[in-house]
Amino acid sequence: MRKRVVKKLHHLIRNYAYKAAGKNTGPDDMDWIHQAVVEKYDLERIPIEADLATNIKRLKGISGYCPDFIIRQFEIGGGIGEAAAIFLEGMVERVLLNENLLKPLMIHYRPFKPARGSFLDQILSVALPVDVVKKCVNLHEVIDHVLEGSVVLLVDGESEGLALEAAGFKTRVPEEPMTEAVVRGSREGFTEALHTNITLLRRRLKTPNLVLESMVLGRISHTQVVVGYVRGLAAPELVAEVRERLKRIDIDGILESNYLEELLRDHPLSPFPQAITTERPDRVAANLLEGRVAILTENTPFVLIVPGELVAHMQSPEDFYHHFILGVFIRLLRWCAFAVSLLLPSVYVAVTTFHQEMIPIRLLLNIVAAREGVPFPAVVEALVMEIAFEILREAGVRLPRAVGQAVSIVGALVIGEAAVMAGVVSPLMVIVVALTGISSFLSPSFDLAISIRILRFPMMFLAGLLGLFGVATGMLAVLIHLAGLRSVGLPYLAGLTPFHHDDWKDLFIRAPLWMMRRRPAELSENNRKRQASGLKPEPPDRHPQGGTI
Amino acid sequence: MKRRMLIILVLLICLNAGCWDLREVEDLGYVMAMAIDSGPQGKIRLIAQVPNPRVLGGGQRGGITPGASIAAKPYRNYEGTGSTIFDALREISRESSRRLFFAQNRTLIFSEAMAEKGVGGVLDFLKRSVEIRHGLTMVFVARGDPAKILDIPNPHATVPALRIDDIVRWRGQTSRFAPVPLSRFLETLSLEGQEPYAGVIEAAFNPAAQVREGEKAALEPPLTLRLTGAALFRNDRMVGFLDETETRGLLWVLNEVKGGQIVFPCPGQEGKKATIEILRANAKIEPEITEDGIIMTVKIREEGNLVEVEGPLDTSKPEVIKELDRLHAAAIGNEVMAAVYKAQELGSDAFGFGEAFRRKFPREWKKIKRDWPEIFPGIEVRVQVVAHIRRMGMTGKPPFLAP
Repeated sequence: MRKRVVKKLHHLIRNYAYKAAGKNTGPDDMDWIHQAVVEKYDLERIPIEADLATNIKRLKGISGYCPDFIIRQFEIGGGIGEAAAIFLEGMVERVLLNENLLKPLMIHYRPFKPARGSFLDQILSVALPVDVVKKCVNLHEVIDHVLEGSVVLLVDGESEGLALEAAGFKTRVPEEPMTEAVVRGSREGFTEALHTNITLLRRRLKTPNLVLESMVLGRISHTQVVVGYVRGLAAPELVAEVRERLKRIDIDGILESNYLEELLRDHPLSPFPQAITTERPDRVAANLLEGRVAILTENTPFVLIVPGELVAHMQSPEDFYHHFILGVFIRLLRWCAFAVSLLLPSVYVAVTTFHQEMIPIRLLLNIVAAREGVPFPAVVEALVMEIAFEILREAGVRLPRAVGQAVSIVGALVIGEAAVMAGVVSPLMVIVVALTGISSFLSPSFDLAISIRILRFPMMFLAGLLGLFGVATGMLAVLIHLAGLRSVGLPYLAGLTPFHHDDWKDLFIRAPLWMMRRRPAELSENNRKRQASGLKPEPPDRHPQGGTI
Repeated sequence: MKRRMLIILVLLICLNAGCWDLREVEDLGYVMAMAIDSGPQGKIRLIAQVPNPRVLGGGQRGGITPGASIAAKPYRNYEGTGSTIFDALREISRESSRRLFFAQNRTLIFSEAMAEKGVGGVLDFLKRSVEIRHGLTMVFVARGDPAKILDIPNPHATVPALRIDDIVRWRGQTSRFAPVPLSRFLETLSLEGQEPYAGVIEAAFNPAAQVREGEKAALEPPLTLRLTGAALFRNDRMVGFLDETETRGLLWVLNEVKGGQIVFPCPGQEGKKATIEILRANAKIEPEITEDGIIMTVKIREEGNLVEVEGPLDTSKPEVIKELDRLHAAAIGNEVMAAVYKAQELGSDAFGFGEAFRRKFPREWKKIKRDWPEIFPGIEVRVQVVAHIRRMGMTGKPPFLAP
């Protein structure tokens, strides 16, 4: 309500300003359109005129005479009528434009007798072999379609235009995801093109119940955002909540899916990720099957999956692509690495500076020998080394690939070898930092790894101040924080607590497929069974009739 | 605003309260063995063994050879004298660059003189100190000067304290010395029906150090460190030693035999011997009150492997095995009885017979507990041993046995 009043006011003031400047505010004075910011409600007021020349003049003004905004004027069927094709160069498929629009209209068109409907309808029914065609009535619609990559056909004497879908811009082909490589499993990753991504998803879930709801967000960027879920699996309240939160977003541009994540999080200040981000269609499909909701954003290969609780961040699709024993092992390893990457430096600092009695004497003597002559306290040593490691890591990401190798070698040598030789750091600290760094890469979720990376520093600080008491306090604080977190309404520790027996089969271990008969309890309350019972393979003589779902 | 104040307060707490207990690893001197001796004029002489991590710590620094320079010595024995043990400790700090840290101490040695005088006064410090770990520290009585014992070089474990620790770890190989954790020592000290005991540590003559004619001076040190036997206490005063056989007799009753060897005469063969390796053993004390007085029956069950037979013996025959069982049970019984006689002679109930009696007859115990030191030497102790041989080893019939 308030918005509308403001808009109206704004408009009035602007009209008044133009008048005061002695300008005509009518739509035909293209100068003001060219200079003013083009607003949707301005354009919606300008209808398509029957006079083609006027339309073209106005469109040129609106477009600001951009070089890629092409208006191709031509005669239909050698003098039957004047027409113009309006499109953006590079956004449309040239062949389609030439073969299916220009050629049939310019060369092959013969008028139909007796004519049925308007001239435009005739053209549409006999001369335009294009699959998706929409009609537009005002300049806003024309511009909108053109910006999306359609070709808009305006015909002299008609106050309607035809928008022919012909988007054909250059996109990347699906490649193996850089951030989530697997040994076994699909090597396809999402691309920047939304329709490709949707196809990748559709190919994995061939059901009419895969619902994709589209919306356009971003006042200037007009980014298409697609909410996907499986009807019957995702809780309707969850879908409604996601929809509601997305609709609330009113921002100039959505350039990456993190724009959305940051704007729809439950706890904006928490370091923990509250949505899963992935480049892998199979991961999205697996999560949709658990009753989650995916948010696909145009122009980024990263898809958001909500809710993204802690446990979901520790699950990798590859866990299910190998034998389950390996899956169990890797899961356990991953949780251990999670603990190591969060706690190892702080526990090392705490134990060596406060609790020397906890270390077996022979190891203790080694530590003492290694630290002999190191001029810094262990906390400072740890902080300096961790920061050095973070610098190296960040540099490794940003540097040109060719230089990256050299830098990592120099970095490893400088930090690992020279610093120890110079007696500035102890070799044990190098081991601790290296182990911590490597462990953080075991996380299947980069976002979770980041939050752990950041939490490590306050932990080290606490350990240096208060020893294991500090570490315990820090852990307690993290736990309390986690227990209070929610991801789109789902408790962040769901799966761990409240306790559901079936959920624990996919938590610290990955149970064999035939044992995991139910979907996560907190997510899919209404539709929990995911497979028939009695799927455990058995020799034929012992196999019963087989179960029913 | 409130929130901001809270954050500031928390930060203040952290920054002001922090670090008070902080000590870097390399600033501490880790005492690994302590010896307490009685010095002149009623003073206490304290020896603390602190390793030198620069030499010991692994990595590229490499090992050391005995007799190298002081800097390369893997440990340093600090010696201090004071009126009390804490006083002596603080004396040491005047020459040590590192703060002495006792939580890693695992060997506590009393000199013989100290033990005979009574260790009660010294023990109080050990009980009060937060750093001393009672479960980790093993108590010994030294025969000879403890300073000398703690300075015997050894190429394997470069610090004598670590060597003692390792020997204790393998005590099940013989069960012929009796290391006891400080916690147990203190516990038995406080019990009315049981007296404490401790291991014995001595510097023995090292036969390998003999220099034969024509050879250069031996690299071996003239003395070697050895754990042997046990020392018996009455209250906090040492009253005497048990030899190695008697020590195992004590350990049988205390259920502390984890292994070891039993040598006994080979059945039917004059002068030949058989040897058993102890697998496991279990003992129970059953007190009885009879008209003749108190009788303690020690019931021992033992299992062992036959490891050595000198004479030709057909071990495939059950009756031979039975005979072996009987003979080695007798050997065990002899060990226990030897220990009992010695303990009764010394008047130290290290076996806990009084405790066993209290558990079974609490009412009667109340009446006699004051007189227990007088009663104990006179009680009758019976030993019942059930011993079994489980395995005969790889050989079958000896080849020279007549068929």
